[in-house]
Amino acid sequence: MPDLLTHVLLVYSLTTVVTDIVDRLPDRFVPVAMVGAILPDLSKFHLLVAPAQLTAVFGIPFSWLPFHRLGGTIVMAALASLTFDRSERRLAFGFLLGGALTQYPLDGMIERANGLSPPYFYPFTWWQPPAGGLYLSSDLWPILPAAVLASGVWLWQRFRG
Amino acid sequence: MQRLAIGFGLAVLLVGMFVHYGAVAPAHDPSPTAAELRADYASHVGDSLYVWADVIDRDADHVTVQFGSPPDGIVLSVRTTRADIDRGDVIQLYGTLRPNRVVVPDRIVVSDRTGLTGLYTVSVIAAVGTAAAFLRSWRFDRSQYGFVPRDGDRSDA
Repeated sequence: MPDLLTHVLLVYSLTTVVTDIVDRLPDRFVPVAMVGAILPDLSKFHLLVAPAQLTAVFGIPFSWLPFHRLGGTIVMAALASLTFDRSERRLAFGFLLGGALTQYPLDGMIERANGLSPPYFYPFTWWQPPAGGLYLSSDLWPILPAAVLASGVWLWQRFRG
Repeated sequence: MQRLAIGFGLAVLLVGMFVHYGAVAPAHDPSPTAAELRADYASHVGDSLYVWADVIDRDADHVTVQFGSPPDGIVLSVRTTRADIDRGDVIQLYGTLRPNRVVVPDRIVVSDRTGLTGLYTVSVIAAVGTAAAFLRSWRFDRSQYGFVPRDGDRSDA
C-alpha cells in the first residue's frame, strides 16, 4: 500500500466532495469512510502474529492477507457496520466499504519486481492485475499531492459561502 | 440477538478465508515459499522466485538476504553489483534460483530502511487522526450498543 496517511487524505477529499454534492449523505460519514480506508491494512497483523506461529499452534494453514483482498474487505465492512446503531448501519456499510475499496487502485499503482499486483479479487478470482509501477510502498512523496488536495477540499468546503 | 448472530456468521466467514487462503494461495503462486526452499532447495533449482526479503549483508558482487521468518526462513545470496542496496533494506527480488542458495535476479526493487520507518510513522499518525475525526462525529451509545451521531440526527429520521 502507499502510506496510510496518503490513503486517508484521499478518502477524506473524495467523500467530502461526495457528501457535499449529494444532500442525503450526511458529512458525518466522511470519517466513517476514513475508518474504512484502514480496514485492509489490518493485514499488517502479520507483523504482530506471524501466520507460521498460528499454523504451528493450531496445525492449520493460515494467512492474514484476506483482510487485504476483496472478499475479506466486504466481510470486514459488514462486521464494522454492525457496531453502528441500526438507523445508521446501511450508510455506514456503504462508506466503510467505499473507503476500503479505494485502497485497491492505489495499491495497483505500486511498483512490483515481477510486474504483477497481488490477487486482490480473492475469493472471486486469482487473477493478478498488472502493476502500475508509479511508486514504491515505502515512498513518502504521495503524501504531498494528497495533502494539497485535502487542504484544497477543506478550504473549499469552509469558504465557498 | 440477531446482530450477534450475523456478526458471528461474518466472523466465521472471515476466519474461513484466513484458513482457505493460507491453504490454497501457495498453489496459485509459482514462486516457492521459504519453508519449501528450506525443506528441499535442490528440487527448486531453476525455478522463478518472487519474494520480499531483508538485506542482512552485502559484498562487492552479491547481497545476502533473509527470506521468511525463523524457523522457516532461509538465507539466500543474490548476485548483484548494485550500489544502492544496503544492509537493513527490504528488497523485492524477482529472479531464478541457482545451486548453493544463489539467486540470479532479473529485477530488484529496493525499499530503504528510512522510507519504511517513515511509512510506519505516518501510518500511525493517520490512524490516530482518523480515530479522532471519527469520535468528533460519533459516540458509542451503551443503550443501543452501537455508534450514534453526536449531533443527534439519524439517517432514518
